[in-house]
Amino acid sequence: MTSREKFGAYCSLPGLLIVAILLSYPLGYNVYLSFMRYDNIQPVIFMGLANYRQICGSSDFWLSWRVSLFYSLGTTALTLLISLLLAHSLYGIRKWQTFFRTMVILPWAVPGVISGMMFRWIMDTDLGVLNYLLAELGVIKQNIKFLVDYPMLSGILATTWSYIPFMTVLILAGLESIPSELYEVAEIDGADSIDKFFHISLALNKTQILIAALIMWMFTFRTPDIFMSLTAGGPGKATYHAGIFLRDLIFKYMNFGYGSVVGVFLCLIVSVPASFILYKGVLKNNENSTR
Amino acid sequence: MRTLLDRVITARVTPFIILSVFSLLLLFPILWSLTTSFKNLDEIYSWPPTLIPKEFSLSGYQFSILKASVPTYLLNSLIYSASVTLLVLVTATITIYGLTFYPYKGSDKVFLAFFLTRTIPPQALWIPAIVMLSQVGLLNSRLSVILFGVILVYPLAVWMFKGIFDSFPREVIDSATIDGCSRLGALVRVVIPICAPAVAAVAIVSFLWNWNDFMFPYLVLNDKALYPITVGVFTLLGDEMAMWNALAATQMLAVAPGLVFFVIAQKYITKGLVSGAVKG
Repeated sequence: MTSREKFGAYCSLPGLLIVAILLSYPLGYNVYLSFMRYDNIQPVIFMGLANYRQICGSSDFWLSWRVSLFYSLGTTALTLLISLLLAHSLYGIRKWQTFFRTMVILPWAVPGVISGMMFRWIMDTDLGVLNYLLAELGVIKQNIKFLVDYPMLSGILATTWSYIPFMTVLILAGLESIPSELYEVAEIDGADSIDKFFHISLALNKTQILIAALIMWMFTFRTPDIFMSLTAGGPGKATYHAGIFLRDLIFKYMNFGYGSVVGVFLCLIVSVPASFILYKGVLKNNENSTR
Repeated sequence: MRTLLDRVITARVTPFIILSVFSLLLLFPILWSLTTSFKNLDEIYSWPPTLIPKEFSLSGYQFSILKASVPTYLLNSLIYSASVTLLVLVTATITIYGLTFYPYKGSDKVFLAFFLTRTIPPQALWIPAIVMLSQVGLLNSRLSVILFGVILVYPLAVWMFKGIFDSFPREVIDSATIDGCSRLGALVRVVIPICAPAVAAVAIVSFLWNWNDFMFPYLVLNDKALYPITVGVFTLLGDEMAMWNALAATQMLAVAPGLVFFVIAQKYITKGLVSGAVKG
C-alpha cells in the first residue's frame, strides 16, 4: 500500500466505526432477537421461528403493513403530482424567484409530529378552521369529521404538506440541470409546451424523480410521526401505521421478540428494493454520465 | 383543446398564479398556529374562528414557557442536535475526504456500503438499541439520544459530502500538499474553507434533521428533564389537550430555528440537500 492509500484507509476508520457499532451490529442483533423469546417476563430463550409464526397470525401485523403501504404510496403519488407542478412553475419564473422558493420550502422546518398537531387543530370537527372555510365557500353544509370519517385522507394531506418542499427541491434541481438549448431546438421543430414537458422535462429528469419518490416512499412507509399526533393510529385502527404497531409492541406489550420481527420485515421491505434501485439508478448513472 | 392548454401553460401569469395559491396553502398551517398562539382561551373556543386574534394575548406563551418547561425542552434539543451535528460533521468529512481523494483497494465497496446505509430504516434499530442501551445502563440518558441521532444523520451527511467533494478540484489539494500542507491539513485549511457554504448547509440540515426527530427519544426517555422539544410538545398534547393556544405557542417555539435557517439560507440549504440526494 502506498502512503496515499494508507491515508485513505485511515480516513475511513471513523465512518466504519460508526457504521459497524451503531448500525451493523444493532441490525444483526435485531435479527438475533427475532429468534428469541423476549417478552420482558419470562427468561430469554431461543425459540426458532416461533415469533415469526405467531406474529404472522396476528391481524394487527397485516393491518399495519396495509396502512403503511396505502399511506406511503398515497402520499408519494400526491406529493409527486403537486411537486411537479410547483417545480415547473418555479423553473418558469425570473421575478420573485427567491420569495417563492422560500415559501415552498418552509414546511420543511416543521417536525412531523408538529405537522400532525397543526393539522389536527385545523381539521377539528367543531373548532377547525378548515370546516369554517369550506362552509364560508359554500362547499359544505355540515361540519365534516375529518379525523373520524377520513383519517387516512387527513394523514395523507398533512404528510403531503410536509413533504412537498423536499420533492419540489429535488425535481427543480433536476430540471435546472437540463440544458436549455434542448427546449429551443424542440421549439424550432414545432413542439408545444405539452410535448416539451413529456419529452424533455419528464424524460430527462426520470432518474431524479424516481430517486426523490423512492426516498419519500421509504420515509413515509417507516415513519409514523404524523399519525402519532394527528390520529394516534385511530379511530379504531384506521391509521395503525407499522411504526405505531412497533411502538405498541415496545411500550404496551413489551414484547421485544415480536418487535424485532417487525424490524426484520421493515428492512426487507424497505432496504432491499431501495438499495437495488439506488445502486442501479444513482451509482451506475453517475458513472456513465460524469466520468 | 390542446392549443388552449398550451396557451394556458405558456402564459406568463400561470406560474405566478399556481405559486401564489400554493404558497398560501403551504404557509397557512404555520400562520394558523401563529395566530392561534396569540389568542386567549375564550377566543379559541368561540365560533366562528377568527383569522386575526381580536385580543392579542400572550397567555399561550406564558403557559408554555413558565409552566410547561418548554425552555428546558428547547435547550435539550439544542444540546442533542449540536452534539450530533458536530460528531457527524467531523467523522463524515474525514471519511468522505479520504474516500474521494485517496482511494485504496476496495474503497469503492466501502463507499457503496456507506451510501446504502441511507436505506436502513432507523425504526428497525429501535429494539436492539433499547436492549443494548439498557445492558450498559444508558437508557433514559442524553448519550442514548445523541448516539441514535448520529445513526439517523450520518447516512445523509455522507451523501451530501460526497456531492460536495466530487465537484472539488483535485489539483487544489495536490498543490496544497506540495506546498507543505499535510493531507489532513489540506482538508482543514483548504477544502473546508473553500466549501464553507456547502459545509454550513450540511451542518444546518444535520441539525434540523435531528431537531425534528421524535420517535426514538420518545421511546427511550422517561425523565421529563431530558425531553427534546418534539417529545415535549407531544406530551403536552396529551396533558394539556384543551389549551390550544399553549400548544400552538410551543409549536411556534419549536419550529422557529428551522424557519429562521430556511429564510436566511434557503439557497445554500437546498443546494446542499440536492447534492446529497441526487448527484449529477
